[in-house]
Amino acid sequence: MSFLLSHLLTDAALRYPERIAVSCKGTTLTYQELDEESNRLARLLIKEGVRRGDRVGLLLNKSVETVLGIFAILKTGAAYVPLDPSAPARRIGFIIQNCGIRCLLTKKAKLAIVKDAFPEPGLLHLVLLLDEMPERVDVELREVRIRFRQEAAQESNDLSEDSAINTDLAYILYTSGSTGNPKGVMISHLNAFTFVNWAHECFGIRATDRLSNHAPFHFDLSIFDLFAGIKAGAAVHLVPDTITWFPGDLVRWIETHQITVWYSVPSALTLLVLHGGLKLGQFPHLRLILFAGEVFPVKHLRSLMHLLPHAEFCNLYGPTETNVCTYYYVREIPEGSASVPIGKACANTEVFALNDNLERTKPGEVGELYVRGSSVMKGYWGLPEKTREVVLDWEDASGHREHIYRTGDLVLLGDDGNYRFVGRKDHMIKSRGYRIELGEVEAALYSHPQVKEAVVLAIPDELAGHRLRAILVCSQGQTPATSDVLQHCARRIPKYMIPEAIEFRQELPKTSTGKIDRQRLLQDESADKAGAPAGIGG
Amino acid sequence: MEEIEDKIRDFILKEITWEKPEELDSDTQLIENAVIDSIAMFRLVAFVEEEFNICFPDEDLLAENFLTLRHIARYVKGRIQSKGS
Repeated sequence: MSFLLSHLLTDAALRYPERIAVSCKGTTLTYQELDEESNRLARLLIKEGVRRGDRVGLLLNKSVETVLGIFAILKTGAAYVPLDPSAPARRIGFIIQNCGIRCLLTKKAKLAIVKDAFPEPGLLHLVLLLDEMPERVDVELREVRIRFRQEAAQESNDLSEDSAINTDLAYILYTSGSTGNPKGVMISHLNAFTFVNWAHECFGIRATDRLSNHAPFHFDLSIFDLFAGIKAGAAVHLVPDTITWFPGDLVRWIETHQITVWYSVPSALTLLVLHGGLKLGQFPHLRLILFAGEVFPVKHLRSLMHLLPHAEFCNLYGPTETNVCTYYYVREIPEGSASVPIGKACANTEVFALNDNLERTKPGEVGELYVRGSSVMKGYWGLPEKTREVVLDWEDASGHREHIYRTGDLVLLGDDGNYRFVGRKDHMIKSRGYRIELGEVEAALYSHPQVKEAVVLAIPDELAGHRLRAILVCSQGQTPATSDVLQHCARRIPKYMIPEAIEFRQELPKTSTGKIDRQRLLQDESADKAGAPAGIGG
Repeated sequence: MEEIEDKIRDFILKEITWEKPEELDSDTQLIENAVIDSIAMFRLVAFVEEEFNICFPDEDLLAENFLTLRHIARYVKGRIQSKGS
């Protein structure tokens, strides 16, 4: 039986021991190597106290060791928690404390960040360095044991039977939180399999495929790359972090590795279309291009489809809380289309839209999209109320109860049965595929001692999706320098959430209930733009 | 070369935000330390094109040209020189 994500590896290793499983920057691991080494590493982790249900962090750039670490953690029955290596130390520290990470897999170069991340390490008591041959360690972490990967070499390759079951946690992905702190989306093995099984079959992933992994491991796009890839016995090629956003390098990389299946946010593809110097028929090996996470500007998608006529294109949609739940093969895009549909439900998933009266919408009616099925997350770590706001009890006609997830996305059902994305119900926006709660950015601004009021506006942008502009009211006579405010943000929130422009005002317009009038500010903003284009500085 | 590097450093310190600007020197890894991301890269390109009156073609949008201040300056110097010849 294959019911835990780690089984995908053990099964593939039996069938394809010699095939390459993962590759990064010239280093490769075959299925047998990945399987055996992750067994040994898992044994070391267990020996050092890691138990089923624990949360084990990963603070690493892309490398084959990262994938080794992920499988080792899964094999102990613990859940892996991938940390964004470029997030500010404070945020990393928050996540480590928040879900009670006691063991962290990292490399020597990141130890300084770990130390910066908190004055007290909390529950963290073990750090395992995955560097090949680290010498001594210069950074001191009080009360934290440091162990090295090479110690695993002495372990046997034999792991005892799993005690975990499929409703246990496989991983936690942290995503932007509107009240100022990120929230951890808890995904079980069953949740992950619901998506992985569908994707593997729908896209016919085979052992001869060469999948790219562009998304960082803390984004759920990586779940497809890693687990659908490994399930098939395919080769997963990790895009090195350095070149992720460099079109010249990416084009060369895709060609060198003869990638057959590519999955990324549309921003990466737009970058290739606009700056990659693509020629007609480029990437002859590329049979399938998947994209998700934001709206793909139709004009650029059309260009890409024209340049790569041999590839299939598919739009995937789904929040982190359910992974992908609908999909749409893009064959041709009718003239005048503003966007591409998000499509229909994946196999083994049900989606439906409800209007304000909580009735299913009819074609042509806008409603909020709900998801039903075993892909719905277990909840947000440590946030039962927040979870209850979005994971709802649903009773069907026969009185049978189960959970459904409300996405907060407004959609329109077409006559052809395809859904189209219309907008959000709240203040969550996408910028270059990154999910950003405006509230989290505002909370970071509010934490600045001189800021009295703050509002962040998301200005629609053709390339990025949205750009952020902050408007602040500060205490009388105490206006800080823009750079000071931005620096304050940079120590708290990831770079992609930092506003591009800061404007200081004496006061902000309010609605009749006394709240900041965002609508009015957005209207003023687009009126300004129509007048004279103001440079976005700061 | 130092002058080129200084101008680039000043631009980055003034216009780009990241966690530890106090640690910026000629050899600071700009991409690894999230100084340069996709948006910052294009702003930097626009700046060097304007400031040094050179052209930064798409095929040179390579990580190796942005790794550190030294790398950027080296690229810019190369473009200035090839303009002259």
